[in-house]
Amino acid sequence: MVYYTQGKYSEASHSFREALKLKPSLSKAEHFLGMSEAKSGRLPEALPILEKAFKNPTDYEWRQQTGLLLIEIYSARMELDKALDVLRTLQKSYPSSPEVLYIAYRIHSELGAKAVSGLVRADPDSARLHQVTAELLESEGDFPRAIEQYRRAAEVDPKLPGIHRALAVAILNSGRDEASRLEAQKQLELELAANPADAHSEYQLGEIYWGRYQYGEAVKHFARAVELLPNFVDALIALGKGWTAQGQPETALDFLRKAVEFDPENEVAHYRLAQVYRKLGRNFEAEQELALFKKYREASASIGAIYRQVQRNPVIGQTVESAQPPK
Amino acid sequence: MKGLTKGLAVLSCLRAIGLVFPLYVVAQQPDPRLLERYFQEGEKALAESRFAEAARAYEKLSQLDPETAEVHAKLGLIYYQQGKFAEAIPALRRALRLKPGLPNTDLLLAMSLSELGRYPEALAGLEKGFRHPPDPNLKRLIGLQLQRSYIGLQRFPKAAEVALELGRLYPDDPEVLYHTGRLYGDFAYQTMRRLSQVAPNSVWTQQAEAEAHESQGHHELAIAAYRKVLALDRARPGVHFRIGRTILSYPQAANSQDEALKEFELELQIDPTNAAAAYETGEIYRKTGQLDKAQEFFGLAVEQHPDFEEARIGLARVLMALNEPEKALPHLEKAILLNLENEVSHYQLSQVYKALGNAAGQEKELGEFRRLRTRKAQQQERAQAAFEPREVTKQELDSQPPP
Repeated sequence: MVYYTQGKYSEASHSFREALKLKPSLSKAEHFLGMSEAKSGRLPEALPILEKAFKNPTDYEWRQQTGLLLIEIYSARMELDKALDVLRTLQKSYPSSPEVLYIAYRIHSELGAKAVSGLVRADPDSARLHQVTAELLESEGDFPRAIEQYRRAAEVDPKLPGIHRALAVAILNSGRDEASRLEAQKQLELELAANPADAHSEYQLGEIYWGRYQYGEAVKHFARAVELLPNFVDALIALGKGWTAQGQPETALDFLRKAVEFDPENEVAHYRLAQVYRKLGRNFEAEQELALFKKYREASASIGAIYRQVQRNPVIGQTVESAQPPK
Repeated sequence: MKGLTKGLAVLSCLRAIGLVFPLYVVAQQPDPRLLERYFQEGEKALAESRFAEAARAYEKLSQLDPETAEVHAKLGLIYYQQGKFAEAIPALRRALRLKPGLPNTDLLLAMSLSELGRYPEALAGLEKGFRHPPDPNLKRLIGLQLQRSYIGLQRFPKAAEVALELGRLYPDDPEVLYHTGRLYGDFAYQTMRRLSQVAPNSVWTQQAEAEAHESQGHHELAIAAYRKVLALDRARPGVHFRIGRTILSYPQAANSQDEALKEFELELQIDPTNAAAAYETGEIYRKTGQLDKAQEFFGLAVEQHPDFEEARIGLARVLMALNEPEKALPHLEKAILLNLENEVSHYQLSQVYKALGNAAGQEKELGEFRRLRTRKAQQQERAQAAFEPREVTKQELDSQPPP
């Protein structure tokens, strides 16, 4: 144990082996032998010991460390299904362990990056690769180049599902003037011509009408989006917004409650609910919703800016700022 | 996603598996000639991908002949092709009521339900279809829908299982790779979100933030975040290494290499087994001509991690520079064994053979190097490099090799 804590893993391995020879029932020594072997780079020797130790559910204290090492080894050997199996077990046993969450984050980030680099290898001019490039540029706020890449994707495969909508969203992100709205609207209509059931395009069209103060038309599109995709949270919030703007907070309430049911941590939904409750004179509930809004906003603000890259959204999501009708 | 399941691929697959009627059976129908006419019109329109006309013809047929399951199934298929999933569902359900065993209709229904986000209803059909696809070509389409449904139901481990299987079956399929990339990106985000909720000030959250900054090319923010990690745990393994790597990835100052070197050395003080830090140290010494030190650190990296391809190549290059080609040879042979596709190791090996007077070996390796280089140019691997995070500095050719 002294060698292990000093980071002298080869010496530790030797000592643990000796200990196990003398007393094979020393289960902790076996755990540490596996971990020492792994840390000394002797992975083939480490693997069976760690696998056996990990299957022993009684040793709660060291099971997490064993699992984390197993994940590391499986990942290095490209045995990703096994790594994910271990990760799933760890997530069940230690759902709030920061270390397990961190490893889960790492593994998923790496797998995502690997898939994208595979896409480059598979077909460097594929529409999907142009789309991924556009998404990355968009996440960095480089809308002109993102639009260029989306256009290229649409050229390569004009029928690629969602591509006209993605282009429309990027156009709207680059500017909200009427010219941008018209261009975006054209792209959304192209999308709906190819995919009439694309709820996201309906929603986005609703947002365009909302921006033009055409609330009735906006609500029609939001409602169509929800009809197509009943658990579409942004569209539900938008419907809440639309009905509130039209002086019908009771109707808005139903949609906002549904939004919260589908996504209990959605800060915008809680904020909008707070507004509606206030309009209805239900101040206690309004305060409760406002507290939830603050809680979730704080959590998302700390990570939102950093993880925009992976937090891709097919539409421009509802925000607190867009909750009020434009003046 | 719809494009995965729409289009002629689905139609041709379903044609092959029986959801097509070779001839319309007109016996016991009220007006056989009319039925036959609509049938022919519908089939012709469908064959020419004129789905709206095909739908009109089959809508007429379904009114005239409401008790024939195949007519409703075909109408459902046409609606599906048109992306009219809400209309496809009742047609397919009706077909199944009339003839529960109608081939693949349940699968088409499941895919339509999934398209509309009705995942709980879609799941059983998709799971069954994925396990026993009626046609190998359909497995991919069903798999992508199943993955989408699991995500919609927040059953992420199951979605990951499907993604892994699809990745194994279709390793070079852009559609599969695209959705896999998105899936894992979303997982990463959700995990990060949870991490920041359960332990906002933990070393793990800080480290994850630093890595996210690094991967997005926000170098200064990344270094600042890594320093925060060290403020919480100054002996934390791996952090000095990441700072060194970040410095090397944007060498803005004249002394960037010195700064990076300092970080790698600090890393090795904390964790002498860190082969990557030893390698980076060796590489900096190699590039600055301090060959003895370079040999020492590359040797350390190889000792810690015998399958470390880049360290093998680095060590071989140092040995060549020290005029010891015999000693360089086994390292390059091992590097090639680890990765046949690395042009740098083939080029270096050709130089070793040249030094050893092995002209045939030299020519063979140069040939391999040229082949790989040409292919690399064709595949635009520079674009790939932009997406692929690098764990260590890659070995590259120092000067333009002979054509």
